Amino acid sequence: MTALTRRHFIAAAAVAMPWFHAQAQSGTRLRCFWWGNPDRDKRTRNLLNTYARSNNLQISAESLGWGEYWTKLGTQVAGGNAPDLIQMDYRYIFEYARRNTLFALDKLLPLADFSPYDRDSGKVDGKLYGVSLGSNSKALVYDTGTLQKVGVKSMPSDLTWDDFGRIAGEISQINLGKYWGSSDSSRLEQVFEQWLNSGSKLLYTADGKVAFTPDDVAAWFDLWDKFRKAGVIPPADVGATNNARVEEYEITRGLAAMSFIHSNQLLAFQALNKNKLAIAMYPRVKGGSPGHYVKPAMLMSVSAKSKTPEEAAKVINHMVTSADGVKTLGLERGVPCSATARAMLLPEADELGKQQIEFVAMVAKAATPLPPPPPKGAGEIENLLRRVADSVAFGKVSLKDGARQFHAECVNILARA
Amino acid sequence: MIRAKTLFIHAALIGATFVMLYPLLWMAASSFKPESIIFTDLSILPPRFDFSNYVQGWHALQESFTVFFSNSTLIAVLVVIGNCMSCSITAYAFARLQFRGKRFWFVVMLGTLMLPYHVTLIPQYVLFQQLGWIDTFLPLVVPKFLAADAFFIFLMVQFFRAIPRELDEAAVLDGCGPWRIYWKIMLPLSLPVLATTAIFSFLWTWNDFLGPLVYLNDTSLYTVPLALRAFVDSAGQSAWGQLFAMSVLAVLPIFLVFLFFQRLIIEGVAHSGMKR
Amino acid sequence: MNASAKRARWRRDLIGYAFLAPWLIGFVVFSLGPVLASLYLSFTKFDLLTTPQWTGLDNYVRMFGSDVRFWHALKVTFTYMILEVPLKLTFALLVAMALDKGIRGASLYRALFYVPSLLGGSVAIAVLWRQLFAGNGLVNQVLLWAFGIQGPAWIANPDTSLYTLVLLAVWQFGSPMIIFLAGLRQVPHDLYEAASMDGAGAWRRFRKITLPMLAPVVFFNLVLQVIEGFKAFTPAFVVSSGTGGPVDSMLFYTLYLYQEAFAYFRMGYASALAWVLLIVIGIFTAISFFTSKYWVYYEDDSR
Repeated sequence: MTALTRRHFIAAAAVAMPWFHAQAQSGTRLRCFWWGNPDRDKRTRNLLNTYARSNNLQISAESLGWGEYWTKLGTQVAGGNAPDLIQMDYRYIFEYARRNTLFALDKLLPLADFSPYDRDSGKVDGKLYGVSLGSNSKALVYDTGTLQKVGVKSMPSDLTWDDFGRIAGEISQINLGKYWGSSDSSRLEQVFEQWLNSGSKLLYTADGKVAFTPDDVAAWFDLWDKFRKAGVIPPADVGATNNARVEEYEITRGLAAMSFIHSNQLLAFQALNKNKLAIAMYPRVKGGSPGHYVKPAMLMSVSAKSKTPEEAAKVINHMVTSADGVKTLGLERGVPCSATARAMLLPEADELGKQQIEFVAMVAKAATPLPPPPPKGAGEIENLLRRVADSVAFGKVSLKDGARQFHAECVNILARA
Repeated sequence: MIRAKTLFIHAALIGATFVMLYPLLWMAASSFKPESIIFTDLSILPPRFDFSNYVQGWHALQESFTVFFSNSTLIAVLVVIGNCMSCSITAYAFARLQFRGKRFWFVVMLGTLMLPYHVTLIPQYVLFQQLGWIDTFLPLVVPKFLAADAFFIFLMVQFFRAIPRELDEAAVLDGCGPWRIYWKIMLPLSLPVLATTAIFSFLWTWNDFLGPLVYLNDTSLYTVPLALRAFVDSAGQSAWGQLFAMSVLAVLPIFLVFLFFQRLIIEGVAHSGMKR
Repeated sequence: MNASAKRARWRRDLIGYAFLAPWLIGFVVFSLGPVLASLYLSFTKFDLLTTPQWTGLDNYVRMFGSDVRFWHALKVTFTYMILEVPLKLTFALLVAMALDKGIRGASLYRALFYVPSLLGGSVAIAVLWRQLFAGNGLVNQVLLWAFGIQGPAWIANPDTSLYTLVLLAVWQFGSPMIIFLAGLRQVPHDLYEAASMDGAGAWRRFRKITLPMLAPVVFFNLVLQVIEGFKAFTPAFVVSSGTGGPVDSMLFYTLYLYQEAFAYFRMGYASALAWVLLIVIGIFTAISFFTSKYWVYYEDDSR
């Protein structure tokens, strides 16, 4: 009996060790989790390491691609071990805040330097749950060299979809079958939203219901179907593996000249692209409004279960107001909301940086007001559009059926949430 | 005397073996090739043995693969110990001891063999969440100390039944209680089945993906399969050479175990199919 | 029964249960409890952060009535199994028979053919497979080099992606092959000799001797492979990056269940999905055992 108990004990101790090890590490330990790309990851890690060293902390830095981020985050939150610092998105913050998984930061972060608009962008039901790390707007990124080949020096910002199709079509003729004018963006919810907004429609109503009709969806699919048939965009299997990572986009892979992204991603894309890139607004519906608005690119929140919310809040403060934080992160996460931060970056901004800042300023001037906050399930709908749009693109389902399916499933998702 | 038919069979077998193993050989070879030629070079012999993929791949993720390999090893070793201990005790109870309800529990135990993990996965997750064991190794290891793998219990019961009872009886005459019979007689004689249990436990745990996927969140706790998948997702199109190098290292332990214990493994598989 | 005999029996039971205790505890905590809990959860709406809400049959109604992905996942899983199980078993049997001829090096071949099975379920192999069948992957390179044809992007196209997984499964025929070999070894060779002396050709010998004698092994392999097929998860997950895509073409039932449970936190619904799967597997196993009466004969059988 003695031999058995002893062995049992050793085994139990060995098993418990990793668990204890995590608790026993010296000093306060914080975990920061964000979705990123190689450029953002490098900057963020630098910032966190420097901050940790000078404040005698341990900060564990974790990042994933957008595609896997929300699943992983959900698992951690549900498992009771959410990271202390969580990067949030406009689509998800309402859901997470309303499920009491985020810490209310009003007292810890007054954000005096932010404009009320920017401060409010992180508020849910009146309380501050996320700090905007930068503003952005949707942006059409294009390869300036290729565009010049078809006689476009710089993309105008009042392009219609017809103009867009024409230009992209000309580009596709350059290297027929191997290079296309634009990537297939029928599957991107952000572009669909802008298309709706441009036509004075909305994605969601203020009370969290679907605001578009199946006919809208059918028209959307039809727009891209025409492009596909004309060879303006690549066939379905080229873009189907794009899980929203910078390396997976057709423009980075040298397969298309234009892609639909957000203005802050310009830096990340340029870092991976040899050709010179520039941004412009998305095309608009004929006679419609630009359909663009300025929104927080991403927010930083603190977990409701964090053991060190004050420390976490200090890190956020450092990120958005301190010279070191602001300069390290730069414009990669968007144009900073704090006026002081902008003042720090503007003089030293390189061409890309200036482009981004001017772009956001231009959108702000022509702005459509911020649409209603996305309801719970908006993230799932983003995935759904990918699936259904691919289904249509591969010819698995007709336009009308696909549109109906998408609409019905959206209603379903929102109802269940 | 070589008949044409035998020659034909050999040729077919050699051909089949080559085709089957080609992907593996190619992957191993590619791990020694520079990134630029991997996708265009079909040969299974690299131009020279370049270890840079291994060196870079080892450190490519946030944590080095040292962490991942030690995690995998720790979990695998604990599972092996747990399985050997708990399954042998349970098998001993079923094979040698008499108690009311034994047949009932035996059937129940066999029943759990047929239970797919999907049904228990979610409630187990909830249980571990309530216990605060998420993001630790505990959910992966503790059940093994409670004889969760009915397959091994079954294997051992078959084995114990074949051990002659005279040995037990002689021990009883010498004044041994059931524990000492288990400890001093059954176990020492069971080395073959314990070895089989240990080997298969190790193999299955080393390759286990769903368990760690669900229960381990912190990168520093990742096992090798989880790390490989994170590698694929983060390196995307650009670092296949390194990824292959790490994959080769990931399957190396399995290979080595197979090399040394081939006979046992194959016999274990063969016996699992035999109804006696 | 007198008092001392009763005491002896109590003592005997106590010892028995003492040894059985670890398993019993494990069974109740990790098997019985969870099975009952998941049955309960399947009738609730539960997202892990709040207490489960009883919703009655809602989950099941939704599953069978309006859940397109559910039917799709079933279809994908069944297609996968209908393709891989027969192919895998056929290869396993063919190669086992070739190896049973008493040729030299049989044990080496046996080991080599088993290697894929050994590695097959691992992430490393799934990762390799993903690369093999990518647009610019090894398979297309070989096709180009050997036949000059440009293959499609196998895993990016919903029409072909599932077949890459089928191929991965069939590649692992080594495991059932070993079981077949063991079974073949038990077929007495004098039966074959007698038959060939009577003028029976190879095909007849196979049909009349090998198959019937192997029937229990075939049955065992069949049930085992089908159950393994239902459990398949890692290849589908890794090859599709967890999405089951493109267009859910690789959405195995297990993957769908995982997504519902751990991506969308619909634990109640996922539990319902798990129970439906359990029932499907149960029905299949019951049918197999029932029909086995008609084609499987055991040596010790009086049936």
